[in-house]
Parts: sequence; structure tokens; C-alpha cells
Amino acid sequence: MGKVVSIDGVISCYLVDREGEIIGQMGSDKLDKSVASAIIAAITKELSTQINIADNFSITVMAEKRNLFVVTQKNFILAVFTDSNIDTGKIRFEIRRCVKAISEEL
Amino acid sequence: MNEDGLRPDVNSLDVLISLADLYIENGLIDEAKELLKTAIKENKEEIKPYSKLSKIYIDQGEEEAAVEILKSAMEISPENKEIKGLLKSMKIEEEKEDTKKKKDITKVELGGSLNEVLENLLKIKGIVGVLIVDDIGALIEAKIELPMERESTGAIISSIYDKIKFSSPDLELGTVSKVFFELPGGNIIVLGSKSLRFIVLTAKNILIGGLADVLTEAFRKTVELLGVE
Repeated sequence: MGKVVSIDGVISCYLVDREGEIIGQMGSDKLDKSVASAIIAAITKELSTQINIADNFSITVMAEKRNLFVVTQKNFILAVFTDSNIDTGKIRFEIRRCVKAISEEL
Repeated sequence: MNEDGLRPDVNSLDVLISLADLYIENGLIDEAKELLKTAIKENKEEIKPYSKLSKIYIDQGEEEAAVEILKSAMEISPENKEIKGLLKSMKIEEEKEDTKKKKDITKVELGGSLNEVLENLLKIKGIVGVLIVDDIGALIEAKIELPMERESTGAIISSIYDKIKFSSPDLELGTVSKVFFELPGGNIIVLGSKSLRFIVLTAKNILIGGLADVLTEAFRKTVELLGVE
């Protein structure tokens, strides 16, 4: 996660289990971490249930103040908050590398 | 078989084929088609009339009819080289047509009506469907190349988009402009305003970021055409 957080424009990075419990967090933001983790897990659960997909999907939210990149795997969710003007290609590439590394570690 | 129950004389088939040729030479295409259909009906196991009729359909640009006839011929004679060749050439033409149909995203003109906007988006390589739903998830318009239930698809995606939108204050995102869902079977891109959800379905291996500009423009145009916020 350290490499992702070190990218210019990345605000924070959350590693969350599928139930919404924080496994790890890096970077600095003013969010209520428990609330943010619970919301991210709830959104992924909703998508997973409604569209009937178990894991390996991602959600990217482009918004006015900042962007949110969420990658869901079988055992965890990685969520990354960035500035809204970030190079999305670069961050997506780094997130994928990070997800692969975490998957191997877990 | 003939009415008398006897197998038709091959010569009579040759006569029918020769007569069909004569019709074609004299521009009597419809007559030639009818004659060949009769020849097929009476000589179901003979390949010649199938081949001749399929060539007429091909010349006339009636690809679907040609393919149907050629498939029927293949059932009778699966190894027939001429029929195989004709079917193969039809497939190549179909592929060329598809390539022409699916344009580079920079070349798409969106058009002046809602129908044109959606039709033209579907011409972009990788886009397989577009749905427009209102803020309660009710379907307004849909153009989809896939067999799927439009109303429920629109409602489901809209509800997930809304969940993200309503979570925005807690996540300090500000106004949500686009949401990309990358799923195992393909991607879903949602652009939203106060009263509309513009949902685009794409094939899996497409750079969804590259579509952002054209979709933003299509959404802006849709909002304008519908006269909503």
C-alpha cells in the first residue's frame, strides 16, 4: 500500500475485509475510517448481490472533489481515494500491482 | 419427388437450371428465384439449385437469405467445396461489415435526436448497450445488442449508482459525475444527473477511460434533448 500512497495525488488507501472491518489504512484524510470502510463494503456487497458476482470486480467513482478506486477480491477490498485530477491510468496500474501483492501475502 | 412418385430426372433439373440462367441473363431475377425455389423443392438432395439461388441472393445483397440457403445446402452436402467457399466468403463480408460498422470513437457524430445519439453510440467499438433511466430507476429508453431484461437491468444499476451518490458526503467525494464498474463479463459506465442515469454497457477488453469524453458529450446532449436537470 505504501507505493500506492506515495503516488502524487493519492490521498489515502484502505484495506478492508468483505464485511467492512479495516485491515489496514495509509495516508491522511479526515474521514471517519470505520464509516468509510463500512460504506465501501456495503457498496461492493450490493453490487455483488444484485449482479450476482462473487469477487474480482472494481468500481471507479469520478467525483467533483476526489475520486475513489475500489478493487474487490475474494478476501479483501482495496479502496484508494485520490485527487480528482489524478492520472487514472497510472493509479489503476499501481492499484492492480498492489492488489496482486496483497493477494499473495494474504 | 414428382407427383407420380418417381424421382425427377436429373435432366429436368438441368433444364430448370438452364432456364434459370436464361432468366438471369434477361434480367428476370424474380422469375429465376422462383424457378430455383421450385427446383430445390423438387430436388432436395441436389446441390446445384441451392448454389445458384445463393449466388443470386449474394449478387442482390440479400446476405441473410443467401446464408440460409447455403446452410441448408451444407446439411445435404457438408463437404461440398463450392458451398463451403460461398459460406466462407459470406462470413468475410460480414466481418468487413462489422469493422465498417464499429467506428473509432473520435469519428462518431452523435446526431440530433435521442434515438440517433443512442444508435450512434452503439456504432462505437466495444459499446454493446445504452440505457437511460430516471431518478427512480424507471426505464426511459434502451438500445442493447445483448439479450437481457432492460427494465430490471436499468433499475439495478441505477440503485447501486444511487447508493454511491448518497454515500458521497460521508466519503467527501463531492458531486459524483461518473461511475465505472469493471465486472468479469464486461463493463458498466454510469453518468448521472439529478433526474437521469445514463448507463453504458461495454465489452470487457475496452479502455473505458478512452470513452469518457464521447460519453460525457452524449450524456450532455441527452439531458438537453430531454429538457431535464
